[in-house]
Amino acid sequence: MPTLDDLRATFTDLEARAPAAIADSGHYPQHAGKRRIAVPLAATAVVLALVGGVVLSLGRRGTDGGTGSPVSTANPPATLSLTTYGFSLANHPAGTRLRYVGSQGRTQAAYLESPSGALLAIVSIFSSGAQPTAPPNAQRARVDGHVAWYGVYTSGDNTGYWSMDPGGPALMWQDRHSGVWVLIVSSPTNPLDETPASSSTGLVLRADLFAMANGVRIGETHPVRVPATLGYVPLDLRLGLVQISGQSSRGGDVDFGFSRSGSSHIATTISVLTSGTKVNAAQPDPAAEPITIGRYTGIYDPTQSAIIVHRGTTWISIRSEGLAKSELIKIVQGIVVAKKPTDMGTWFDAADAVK
Amino acid sequence: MVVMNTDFAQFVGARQVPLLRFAMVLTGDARLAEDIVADVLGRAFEQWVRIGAMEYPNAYVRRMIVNEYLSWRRRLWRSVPHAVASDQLDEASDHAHLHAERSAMMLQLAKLPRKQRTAVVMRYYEGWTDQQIAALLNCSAGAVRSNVSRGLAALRIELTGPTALRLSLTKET
Repeated sequence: MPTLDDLRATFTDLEARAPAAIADSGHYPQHAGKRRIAVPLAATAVVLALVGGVVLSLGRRGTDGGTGSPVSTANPPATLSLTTYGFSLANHPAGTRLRYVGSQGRTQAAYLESPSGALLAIVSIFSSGAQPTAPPNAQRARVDGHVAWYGVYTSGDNTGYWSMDPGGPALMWQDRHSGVWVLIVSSPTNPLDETPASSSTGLVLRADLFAMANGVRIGETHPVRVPATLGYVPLDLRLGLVQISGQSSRGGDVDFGFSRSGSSHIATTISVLTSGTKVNAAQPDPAAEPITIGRYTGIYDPTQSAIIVHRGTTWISIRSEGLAKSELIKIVQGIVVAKKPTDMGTWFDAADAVK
Repeated sequence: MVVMNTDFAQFVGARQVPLLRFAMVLTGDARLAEDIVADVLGRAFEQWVRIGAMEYPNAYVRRMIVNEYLSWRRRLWRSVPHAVASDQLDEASDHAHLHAERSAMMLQLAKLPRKQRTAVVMRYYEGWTDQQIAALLNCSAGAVRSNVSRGLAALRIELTGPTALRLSLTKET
Protein backbone atom coordinates (compact mmCIF):
# COMPACT_ATOMS: atom_id res chain seq x y z
CA MET A 1 0.00 0.00 0.00
CA PRO A 2 1.49 3.37 -0.96
CA THR A 3 2.38 5.90 1.70
CA LEU A 4 2.76 9.66 1.83
CA ASP A 5 6.43 9.20 1.00
CA ASP A 6 5.37 7.53 -2.23
CA LEU A 7 3.07 10.44 -2.93
CA ARG A 8 5.89 12.91 -2.42
CA ALA A 9 8.16 10.81 -4.61
CA THR A 10 5.45 10.89 -7.26
CA PHE A 11 5.41 14.66 -7.02
CA THR A 12 9.14 14.63 -7.59
CA ASP A 13 8.71 12.41 -10.62
CA LEU A 14 6.09 14.78 -11.97
CA GLU A 15 8.38 17.74 -11.42
CA ALA A 16 10.95 16.04 -13.58
CA ARG A 17 8.42 15.86 -16.39
CA ALA A 18 7.72 19.59 -16.33
CA PRO A 19 8.16 21.33 -19.66
CA ALA A 20 11.20 23.43 -20.35
CA ALA A 21 11.16 27.22 -20.09
CA ILE A 22 8.59 29.08 -22.17
CA ALA A 23 9.62 32.63 -22.87
CA ASP A 24 12.67 33.70 -24.81
CA SER A 25 15.28 35.27 -22.65
CA GLY A 26 14.78 39.01 -22.55
CA HIS A 27 11.53 39.06 -24.45
CA TYR A 28 7.93 38.25 -23.83
CA PRO A 29 4.97 38.26 -26.19
CA GLN A 30 3.29 41.64 -26.15
CA HIS A 31 -0.11 40.01 -26.27
CA ALA A 32 0.72 37.21 -23.95
CA GLY A 33 -2.87 37.28 -22.79
CA LYS A 34 -3.80 35.47 -25.95
CA ARG A 35 -2.63 32.33 -24.25
CA ARG A 36 -5.50 32.81 -21.85
CA ILE A 37 -7.87 31.03 -24.09
CA ALA A 38 -5.46 28.74 -25.76
CA VAL A 39 -7.60 25.89 -24.54
CA PRO A 40 -10.82 27.12 -26.11
CA LEU A 41 -8.84 28.03 -29.18
CA ALA A 42 -7.45 24.57 -29.37
CA ALA A 43 -10.92 23.17 -28.75
CA THR A 44 -12.20 25.22 -31.60
CA ALA A 45 -9.32 24.12 -33.74
CA VAL A 46 -10.20 20.54 -32.98
CA VAL A 47 -13.79 21.06 -33.99
CA LEU A 48 -12.81 22.95 -37.08
CA ALA A 49 -10.36 20.25 -37.93
CA LEU A 50 -13.14 17.72 -37.61
CA VAL A 51 -15.45 19.82 -39.69
CA GLY A 52 -13.27 21.06 -42.40
CA GLY A 53 -9.62 20.64 -41.81
CA VAL A 54 -7.14 17.92 -41.83
CA VAL A 55 -8.26 15.05 -39.67
CA LEU A 56 -5.47 13.22 -37.99
CA SER A 57 -5.12 9.81 -39.44
CA LEU A 58 -5.01 7.60 -36.43
CA GLY A 59 -7.03 4.69 -37.67
CA ARG A 60 -7.32 2.69 -40.81
CA ARG A 61 -8.35 4.07 -44.14
CA GLY A 62 -10.45 2.91 -47.01
CA THR A 63 -14.04 1.96 -47.50
CA ASP A 64 -16.05 -1.18 -47.26
CA GLY A 65 -19.06 -1.80 -49.42
CA GLY A 66 -19.66 1.90 -49.88
CA THR A 67 -19.47 2.71 -46.20
CA GLY A 68 -16.79 5.26 -45.46
CA SER A 69 -14.11 4.80 -42.93
CA PRO A 70 -14.16 7.25 -40.04
CA VAL A 71 -10.85 8.61 -41.14
CA SER A 72 -10.57 11.05 -43.97
CA THR A 73 -8.53 13.98 -45.09
CA ALA A 74 -11.13 15.53 -47.36
CA ASN A 75 -13.79 17.37 -45.43
CA PRO A 76 -15.74 20.38 -46.64
CA PRO A 77 -14.65 23.90 -45.69
CA ALA A 78 -15.12 24.89 -42.07
CA THR A 79 -18.36 26.63 -41.27
CA LEU A 80 -20.19 27.14 -38.04
CA SER A 81 -23.37 25.14 -38.23
CA LEU A 82 -26.35 26.42 -36.28
CA THR A 83 -28.44 23.41 -37.23
CA THR A 84 -28.31 20.13 -35.37
CA TYR A 85 -29.74 16.66 -35.64
CA GLY A 86 -32.16 15.27 -33.17
CA PHE A 87 -31.27 11.85 -31.86
CA SER A 88 -32.68 9.33 -29.50
CA LEU A 89 -31.87 5.94 -28.15
CA ALA A 90 -33.93 2.79 -28.51
CA ASN A 91 -33.23 -0.55 -26.86
CA HIS A 92 -31.04 1.10 -24.30
CA PRO A 93 -30.41 -0.62 -20.99
CA ALA A 94 -33.31 -0.41 -18.56
CA GLY A 95 -33.41 2.78 -16.58
CA THR A 96 -30.79 4.59 -18.58
CA ARG A 97 -31.51 7.91 -20.22
CA LEU A 98 -30.04 10.10 -22.90
CA ARG A 99 -29.48 13.73 -21.94
CA TYR A 100 -28.50 16.33 -24.50
CA VAL A 101 -25.51 18.31 -23.28
CA GLY A 102 -24.51 20.58 -26.06
CA SER A 103 -23.50 21.51 -29.55
CA GLN A 104 -20.15 22.74 -30.60
CA GLY A 105 -19.34 23.65 -34.15
CA ARG A 106 -20.95 20.88 -36.13
CA THR A 107 -20.93 18.28 -33.38
CA GLN A 108 -23.59 17.63 -30.82
CA ALA A 109 -23.40 15.38 -27.84
CA ALA A 110 -25.53 13.69 -25.23
CA TYR A 111 -24.76 11.82 -22.08
CA LEU A 112 -26.07 8.34 -21.56
CA GLU A 113 -26.69 8.10 -17.85
CA SER A 114 -27.59 5.35 -15.46
CA PRO A 115 -30.72 5.60 -13.28
CA SER A 116 -28.51 7.06 -10.55
CA GLY A 117 -27.17 9.73 -12.87
CA ALA A 118 -23.73 8.19 -13.42
CA LEU A 119 -22.27 8.84 -16.83
CA LEU A 120 -22.05 5.64 -18.85
CA ALA A 121 -21.18 6.89 -22.29
CA ILE A 122 -21.21 9.93 -24.55
CA VAL A 123 -22.99 9.88 -27.87
CA SER A 124 -21.80 12.40 -30.45
CA ILE A 125 -23.25 13.14 -33.85
CA PHE A 126 -21.17 14.80 -36.51
CA SER A 127 -23.15 16.98 -38.86
CA SER A 128 -23.03 16.13 -42.50
CA GLY A 129 -19.48 16.21 -43.78
CA ALA A 130 -17.79 16.05 -40.39
CA GLN A 131 -16.28 12.86 -39.07
CA PRO A 132 -14.84 11.44 -35.88
CA THR A 133 -11.29 10.23 -35.70
CA ALA A 134 -10.81 6.55 -35.13
CA PRO A 135 -8.67 5.30 -32.27
CA PRO A 136 -5.40 3.70 -33.24
CA ASN A 137 -5.78 0.05 -34.15
CA ALA A 138 -9.53 0.36 -34.56
CA GLN A 139 -11.18 -2.89 -35.58
CA ARG A 140 -13.98 -3.30 -38.05
CA ALA A 141 -17.35 -4.20 -36.56
CA ARG A 142 -21.02 -3.83 -37.41
CA VAL A 143 -23.76 -1.55 -36.12
CA ASP A 144 -27.29 -1.79 -37.40
CA GLY A 145 -26.00 -3.99 -40.20
CA HIS A 146 -23.44 -1.46 -41.36
CA VAL A 147 -19.72 -1.35 -41.08
CA ALA A 148 -18.48 0.31 -37.93
CA TRP A 149 -15.18 0.78 -36.18
CA TYR A 150 -14.45 -0.23 -32.63
CA GLY A 151 -11.37 0.72 -30.67
CA VAL A 152 -10.04 2.13 -27.44
CA TYR A 153 -8.98 5.73 -27.24
CA THR A 154 -5.64 6.39 -25.73
CA SER A 155 -4.29 9.54 -24.23
CA GLY A 156 -4.45 12.44 -26.59
CA ASP A 157 -6.96 11.01 -29.04
CA ASN A 158 -9.80 13.21 -30.04
CA THR A 159 -13.25 11.80 -29.53
CA GLY A 160 -15.11 14.53 -31.29
CA TYR A 161 -16.74 16.52 -28.56
CA TRP A 162 -15.13 16.19 -25.18
CA SER A 163 -11.73 14.82 -24.58
CA MET A 164 -11.78 11.46 -22.92
CA ASP A 165 -9.47 10.06 -20.38
CA PRO A 166 -7.40 7.24 -21.79
CA GLY A 167 -8.94 3.81 -22.00
CA GLY A 168 -12.38 4.72 -23.23
CA PRO A 169 -13.78 2.14 -25.66
CA ALA A 170 -15.41 3.76 -28.65
CA LEU A 171 -17.64 2.71 -31.50
CA MET A 172 -18.33 4.80 -34.58
CA TRP A 173 -20.38 4.32 -37.69
CA GLN A 174 -22.15 6.17 -40.45
CA ASP A 175 -25.90 6.26 -39.93
CA ARG A 176 -27.60 4.50 -42.81
CA HIS A 177 -30.50 6.94 -43.11
CA SER A 178 -28.98 10.35 -42.54
CA GLY A 179 -25.43 9.59 -43.58
CA VAL A 180 -24.01 11.34 -40.54
CA TRP A 181 -21.29 9.83 -38.43
CA VAL A 182 -22.17 8.77 -34.92
CA LEU A 183 -19.68 8.11 -32.16
CA ILE A 184 -20.42 6.47 -28.85
CA VAL A 185 -17.64 6.37 -26.33
CA SER A 186 -17.40 5.33 -22.73
CA SER A 187 -15.34 7.39 -20.36
CA PRO A 188 -14.09 6.67 -16.88
CA THR A 189 -14.77 10.25 -15.82
CA ASN A 190 -17.35 12.86 -16.54
CA PRO A 191 -15.51 15.42 -18.68
CA LEU A 192 -17.63 18.29 -17.43
CA ASP A 193 -17.24 18.00 -13.69
CA GLU A 194 -14.65 15.24 -13.50
CA THR A 195 -16.62 13.06 -11.17
CA PRO A 196 -16.24 9.35 -11.73
CA ALA A 197 -18.33 8.40 -14.74
CA SER A 198 -19.62 5.25 -13.18
CA SER A 199 -19.12 3.12 -10.17
CA SER A 200 -16.03 1.14 -9.42
CA THR A 201 -17.08 -1.27 -12.12
CA GLY A 202 -15.60 1.29 -14.47
CA LEU A 203 -16.19 1.28 -18.17
CA VAL A 204 -19.19 0.14 -20.06
CA LEU A 205 -18.70 -3.34 -21.45
CA ARG A 206 -18.11 -3.78 -25.15
CA ALA A 207 -21.35 -5.71 -25.51
CA ASP A 208 -23.28 -2.91 -23.81
CA LEU A 209 -21.68 -0.39 -26.13
CA PHE A 210 -22.84 -2.32 -29.17
CA ALA A 211 -26.32 -2.75 -27.71
CA MET A 212 -26.56 0.99 -27.14
CA ALA A 213 -25.15 1.79 -30.58
CA ASN A 214 -27.72 -0.40 -32.28
CA GLY A 215 -30.41 1.61 -30.55
CA VAL A 216 -29.29 5.04 -31.72
CA ARG A 217 -31.82 6.75 -33.96
CA ILE A 218 -31.01 9.93 -35.85
CA GLY A 219 -33.87 12.37 -36.26
CA GLU A 220 -34.54 15.42 -38.38
CA THR A 221 -32.41 18.52 -38.32
CA HIS A 222 -33.54 21.51 -36.34
CA PRO A 223 -32.09 24.91 -35.47
CA VAL A 224 -29.84 25.27 -32.47
CA ARG A 225 -31.79 27.09 -29.78
CA VAL A 226 -30.18 29.31 -27.19
CA PRO A 227 -31.54 30.90 -24.00
CA ALA A 228 -30.24 34.40 -24.74
CA THR A 229 -29.48 36.82 -27.54
CA LEU A 230 -26.76 39.40 -27.92
CA GLY A 231 -27.89 42.85 -28.93
CA TYR A 232 -24.44 44.33 -29.15
CA VAL A 233 -21.12 42.88 -30.22
CA PRO A 234 -18.13 45.00 -31.26
CA LEU A 235 -17.93 45.28 -35.02
CA ASP A 236 -14.63 43.51 -35.44
CA LEU A 237 -15.76 40.35 -33.66
CA ARG A 238 -17.04 37.41 -35.67
CA LEU A 239 -19.06 34.54 -34.23
CA GLY A 240 -16.99 31.39 -34.32
CA LEU A 241 -18.48 29.10 -31.74
CA VAL A 242 -21.80 28.39 -30.09
CA GLN A 243 -21.91 25.91 -27.28
CA ILE A 244 -24.89 24.92 -25.23
CA SER A 245 -24.67 22.97 -22.04
CA GLY A 246 -26.66 22.31 -18.93
CA GLN A 247 -29.78 22.22 -21.04
CA SER A 248 -32.47 20.83 -18.82
CA SER A 249 -35.70 21.64 -17.08
CA ARG A 250 -33.66 24.09 -15.00
CA GLY A 251 -32.73 26.14 -18.04
CA GLY A 252 -29.58 26.13 -20.10
CA ASP A 253 -26.22 27.76 -20.59
CA VAL A 254 -24.81 29.17 -23.78
CA ASP A 255 -21.32 30.24 -24.73
CA PHE A 256 -20.74 32.45 -27.73
CA GLY A 257 -17.16 32.48 -28.92
CA PHE A 258 -15.89 35.31 -31.10
CA SER A 259 -12.77 35.78 -33.11
CA ARG A 260 -11.43 38.90 -34.67
CA SER A 261 -11.81 39.40 -38.38
CA GLY A 262 -9.35 37.34 -40.33
CA SER A 263 -8.52 35.03 -37.45
CA SER A 264 -9.97 31.78 -36.15
CA HIS A 265 -8.63 32.48 -32.69
CA ILE A 266 -11.51 32.77 -30.21
CA ALA A 267 -10.64 36.03 -28.53
CA THR A 268 -13.84 36.76 -26.64
CA THR A 269 -16.24 34.43 -24.94
CA ILE A 270 -19.66 35.57 -23.80
CA SER A 271 -21.49 33.14 -21.56
CA VAL A 272 -25.06 33.38 -20.36
CA LEU A 273 -25.96 30.82 -17.75
CA THR A 274 -29.56 30.22 -16.81
CA SER A 275 -29.44 26.66 -15.49
CA GLY A 276 -28.33 27.56 -12.01
CA THR A 277 -24.66 27.16 -12.86
CA LYS A 278 -22.59 29.79 -11.12
CA VAL A 279 -19.44 31.36 -12.42
CA ASN A 280 -16.67 30.76 -9.98
CA ALA A 281 -15.58 34.22 -9.04
CA ALA A 282 -13.63 33.07 -6.03
CA GLN A 283 -10.23 34.61 -5.59
CA PRO A 284 -10.75 37.41 -8.10
CA ASP A 285 -7.79 39.47 -9.02
CA PRO A 286 -7.19 42.13 -6.36
CA ALA A 287 -7.59 44.73 -9.08
CA ALA A 288 -11.18 43.59 -9.68
CA GLU A 289 -13.83 46.10 -8.75
CA PRO A 290 -17.55 45.82 -8.03
CA ILE A 291 -19.84 46.78 -10.86
CA THR A 292 -23.55 47.26 -11.35
CA ILE A 293 -25.07 47.17 -14.82
CA GLY A 294 -28.79 47.70 -14.69
CA ARG A 295 -30.10 44.98 -12.41
CA TYR A 296 -26.95 42.91 -12.72
CA THR A 297 -24.25 43.10 -10.08
CA GLY A 298 -20.82 41.56 -9.98
CA ILE A 299 -17.22 42.38 -10.69
CA TYR A 300 -15.17 43.90 -13.46
CA ASP A 301 -11.70 42.42 -13.70
CA PRO A 302 -9.39 44.72 -15.68
CA THR A 303 -6.59 42.17 -15.59
CA GLN A 304 -8.57 39.74 -17.70
CA SER A 305 -10.76 42.30 -19.46
CA ALA A 306 -13.61 40.37 -17.97
CA ILE A 307 -16.97 40.94 -16.38
CA ILE A 308 -18.88 38.50 -14.23
CA VAL A 309 -22.33 39.64 -13.16
CA HIS A 310 -25.52 37.98 -12.09
CA ARG A 311 -29.11 38.67 -11.35
CA GLY A 312 -30.79 35.93 -9.37
CA THR A 313 -29.76 32.65 -10.93
CA THR A 314 -28.81 34.18 -14.27
CA TRP A 315 -25.09 34.69 -14.65
CA ILE A 316 -23.25 36.50 -17.40
CA SER A 317 -19.55 36.08 -17.93
CA ILE A 318 -17.52 37.88 -20.57
CA ARG A 319 -13.87 37.17 -20.98
CA SER A 320 -11.98 38.99 -23.64
CA GLU A 321 -8.62 39.99 -24.90
CA GLY A 322 -8.43 43.65 -24.26
CA LEU A 323 -12.02 44.80 -24.73
CA ALA A 324 -12.57 48.10 -22.96
CA LYS A 325 -14.77 48.26 -19.90
CA SER A 326 -17.29 50.39 -21.78
CA GLU A 327 -17.54 47.73 -24.50
CA LEU A 328 -18.06 44.98 -21.95
CA ILE A 329 -20.81 47.00 -20.31
CA LYS A 330 -22.52 47.56 -23.66
CA ILE A 331 -22.44 43.82 -24.35
CA VAL A 332 -24.08 43.07 -21.01
CA GLN A 333 -26.68 45.76 -21.60
CA GLY A 334 -27.56 44.24 -24.95
CA ILE A 335 -28.11 40.70 -23.67
CA VAL A 336 -31.70 39.54 -23.64
CA VAL A 337 -32.46 36.39 -21.67
CA ALA A 338 -35.43 34.22 -22.58
CA LYS A 339 -38.57 35.15 -20.69
CA LYS A 340 -38.70 31.76 -19.09
CA PRO A 341 -35.35 30.00 -19.46
CA THR A 342 -36.78 26.76 -18.12
CA ASP A 343 -39.17 26.70 -21.08
CA MET A 344 -37.25 26.07 -24.28
CA GLY A 345 -40.23 27.37 -26.18
CA THR A 346 -39.16 30.84 -25.15
CA TRP A 347 -35.60 30.36 -26.39
CA PHE A 348 -34.22 31.86 -29.57
CA ASP A 349 -32.81 30.41 -32.76
CA ALA A 350 -29.05 30.71 -32.57
CA ALA A 351 -28.99 32.06 -36.10
CA ASP A 352 -30.97 35.06 -34.85
CA ALA A 353 -29.17 35.40 -31.55
CA VAL A 354 -26.25 37.41 -32.81
CA LYS A 355 -26.97 40.13 -35.31
CA MET B 1 7.48 41.32 -29.10
CA VAL B 2 8.60 43.90 -26.61
CA VAL B 3 11.54 44.06 -24.31
CA MET B 4 10.56 42.95 -20.85
CA ASN B 5 10.62 45.02 -17.76
CA THR B 6 13.86 44.16 -16.01
CA ASP B 7 12.20 43.07 -12.78
CA PHE B 8 9.77 40.89 -14.64
CA ALA B 9 12.58 39.40 -16.69
CA GLN B 10 14.43 38.55 -13.50
CA PHE B 11 11.30 37.07 -12.00
CA VAL B 12 10.70 34.89 -15.04
CA GLY B 13 14.31 33.89 -15.20
CA ALA B 14 14.38 32.85 -11.57
CA ARG B 15 10.87 31.47 -11.16
CA GLN B 16 9.69 30.10 -14.44
CA VAL B 17 11.10 26.62 -14.02
CA PRO B 18 9.81 26.21 -10.44
CA LEU B 19 6.44 27.52 -11.57
CA LEU B 20 6.35 25.02 -14.40
CA ARG B 21 7.23 22.24 -11.98
CA PHE B 22 4.50 23.36 -9.64
CA ALA B 23 1.99 23.51 -12.50
CA MET B 24 3.10 20.09 -13.68
CA VAL B 25 2.51 18.57 -10.25
CA LEU B 26 -0.81 20.37 -10.04
CA THR B 27 -2.11 19.37 -13.45
CA GLY B 28 -0.20 16.19 -14.25
CA ASP B 29 -0.21 17.38 -17.84
CA ALA B 30 2.85 18.99 -19.36
CA ARG B 31 0.98 20.83 -22.08
CA LEU B 32 -1.68 22.12 -19.77
CA ALA B 33 0.99 23.15 -17.26
CA GLU B 34 2.86 25.06 -19.94
CA ASP B 35 -0.31 26.66 -21.20
CA ILE B 36 -1.41 27.77 -17.75
CA VAL B 37 1.99 29.13 -16.78
CA ALA B 38 2.30 31.00 -20.07
CA ASP B 39 -1.17 32.37 -19.59
CA VAL B 40 -0.53 33.43 -16.02
CA LEU B 41 2.85 34.94 -16.81
CA GLY B 42 1.24 36.84 -19.63
CA ARG B 43 -1.27 38.34 -17.23
CA ALA B 44 1.40 38.97 -14.65
CA PHE B 45 3.44 40.78 -17.28
CA GLU B 46 0.55 43.08 -18.01
CA GLN B 47 0.10 43.81 -14.31
CA TRP B 48 3.70 43.68 -13.23
CA VAL B 49 3.80 47.18 -11.82
CA ARG B 50 1.27 46.07 -9.23
CA ILE B 51 2.35 42.44 -8.76
CA GLY B 52 6.04 43.26 -8.71
CA ALA B 53 5.45 45.63 -5.84
CA MET B 54 3.92 42.91 -3.69
CA GLU B 55 5.86 41.46 -0.80
CA TYR B 56 5.62 37.94 -2.21
CA PRO B 57 4.99 38.12 -5.97
CA ASN B 58 5.93 34.47 -6.36
CA ALA B 59 3.20 33.38 -3.95
CA TYR B 60 0.72 35.55 -5.76
CA VAL B 61 1.63 34.09 -9.14
CA ARG B 62 1.31 30.58 -7.73
CA ARG B 63 -2.18 31.46 -6.56
CA MET B 64 -2.93 32.69 -10.05
CA ILE B 65 -1.83 29.31 -11.40
CA VAL B 66 -4.09 27.43 -9.00
CA ASN B 67 -7.02 29.71 -9.77
CA GLU B 68 -6.48 29.27 -13.47
CA TYR B 69 -6.34 25.50 -13.07
CA LEU B 70 -9.55 25.52 -11.08
CA SER B 71 -11.35 28.13 -13.10
CA TRP B 72 -14.79 27.40 -14.35
CA ARG B 73 -13.71 28.28 -17.85
CA ARG B 74 -10.82 25.84 -17.89
CA ARG B 75 -13.09 23.06 -16.73
CA LEU B 76 -15.82 23.76 -19.21
CA TRP B 77 -13.45 24.08 -22.09
CA ARG B 78 -11.83 20.80 -21.42
CA SER B 79 -12.40 19.66 -24.95
CA VAL B 80 -8.84 19.67 -26.07
CA PRO B 81 -7.27 16.35 -26.87
CA HIS B 82 -4.07 16.36 -24.96
CA ALA B 83 -1.64 13.97 -23.49
CA VAL B 84 -1.52 13.42 -19.79
CA ALA B 85 1.36 12.11 -17.81
CA SER B 86 0.37 8.59 -18.71
CA ASP B 87 1.78 8.94 -22.19
CA GLN B 88 5.19 9.27 -20.70
CA LEU B 89 4.87 6.42 -18.32
CA ASP B 90 6.38 3.79 -20.55
CA GLU B 91 9.65 5.63 -20.53
CA ALA B 92 9.79 5.52 -16.77
CA SER B 93 8.46 2.07 -16.16
CA ASP B 94 10.96 0.05 -18.10
CA HIS B 95 12.54 -1.22 -14.98
CA ALA B 96 11.64 -1.39 -11.37
CA HIS B 97 8.46 -2.12 -9.59
CA LEU B 98 8.87 1.20 -7.83
CA HIS B 99 8.40 3.10 -11.05
CA ALA B 100 5.36 1.06 -11.85
CA GLU B 101 3.81 1.98 -8.53
CA ARG B 102 4.51 5.67 -9.04
CA SER B 103 3.17 5.49 -12.55
CA ALA B 104 0.01 3.98 -11.17
CA MET B 105 -0.19 6.75 -8.60
CA MET B 106 0.20 9.37 -11.32
CA LEU B 107 -2.71 7.86 -13.14
CA GLN B 108 -4.76 7.88 -9.94
CA LEU B 109 -3.79 11.51 -9.35
CA ALA B 110 -4.93 12.36 -12.85
CA LYS B 111 -8.34 10.93 -12.08
CA LEU B 112 -8.92 13.03 -8.98
CA PRO B 113 -11.37 15.91 -9.31
CA ARG B 114 -9.44 19.14 -9.61
CA LYS B 115 -10.36 20.50 -6.23
CA GLN B 116 -9.34 17.29 -4.49
CA ARG B 117 -6.12 17.14 -6.41
CA THR B 118 -5.38 20.77 -5.64
CA ALA B 119 -6.00 20.21 -1.94
CA VAL B 120 -3.68 17.19 -1.91
CA VAL B 121 -0.96 19.00 -3.84
CA MET B 122 -1.14 22.14 -1.71
CA ARG B 123 -1.00 20.08 1.45
CA TYR B 124 1.71 17.59 0.59
CA TYR B 125 3.69 19.35 -2.11
CA GLU B 126 3.45 22.96 -1.02
CA GLY B 127 3.05 22.19 2.67
CA TRP B 128 0.18 24.59 3.21
CA THR B 129 -2.11 24.48 6.22
CA ASP B 130 -5.82 23.70 6.03
CA GLN B 131 -6.59 27.36 6.63
CA GLN B 132 -4.31 28.53 3.84
CA ILE B 133 -5.79 26.02 1.42
CA ALA B 134 -9.29 26.96 2.54
CA ALA B 135 -8.61 30.59 1.73
CA LEU B 136 -7.25 29.60 -1.66
CA LEU B 137 -10.16 27.33 -2.51
CA ASN B 138 -12.76 29.62 -0.97
CA CYS B 139 -14.13 26.91 1.28
CA SER B 140 -13.97 25.88 4.91
CA ALA B 141 -11.02 24.16 6.54
CA GLY B 142 -13.32 21.21 7.11
CA ALA B 143 -14.00 21.00 3.41
CA VAL B 144 -10.26 21.04 2.78
CA ARG B 145 -9.76 18.17 5.20
CA SER B 146 -12.57 16.31 3.51
CA ASN B 147 -11.05 16.88 0.07
CA VAL B 148 -7.62 15.78 1.24
CA SER B 149 -9.06 12.75 2.97
CA ARG B 150 -11.07 11.69 -0.05
CA GLY B 151 -8.11 12.33 -2.31
CA LEU B 152 -5.84 10.16 -0.22
CA ALA B 153 -8.48 7.48 -0.04
CA ALA B 154 -8.78 7.48 -3.81
CA LEU B 155 -5.00 7.19 -4.02
CA ARG B 156 -5.20 4.38 -1.48
CA ILE B 157 -2.51 6.01 0.55
CA GLU B 158 -1.90 4.54 3.91
CA LEU B 159 -1.44 7.13 6.59
CA THR B 160 1.36 6.05 8.84
CA GLY B 161 3.58 7.74 11.33
CA PRO B 162 3.15 11.30 12.51
CA THR B 163 0.44 12.22 10.02
CA ALA B 164 -1.80 9.36 11.06
CA LEU B 165 -1.21 10.13 14.69
CA ARG B 166 -2.06 13.77 14.19
CA LEU B 167 -5.28 12.89 12.42
CA SER B 168 -6.16 10.47 15.14
CA LEU B 169 -5.58 13.06 17.84
CA THR B 170 -7.61 15.59 15.92
CA LYS B 171 -10.47 13.17 15.71
CA GLU B 172 -10.45 12.52 19.41
CA THR B 173 -10.49 16.17 20.34
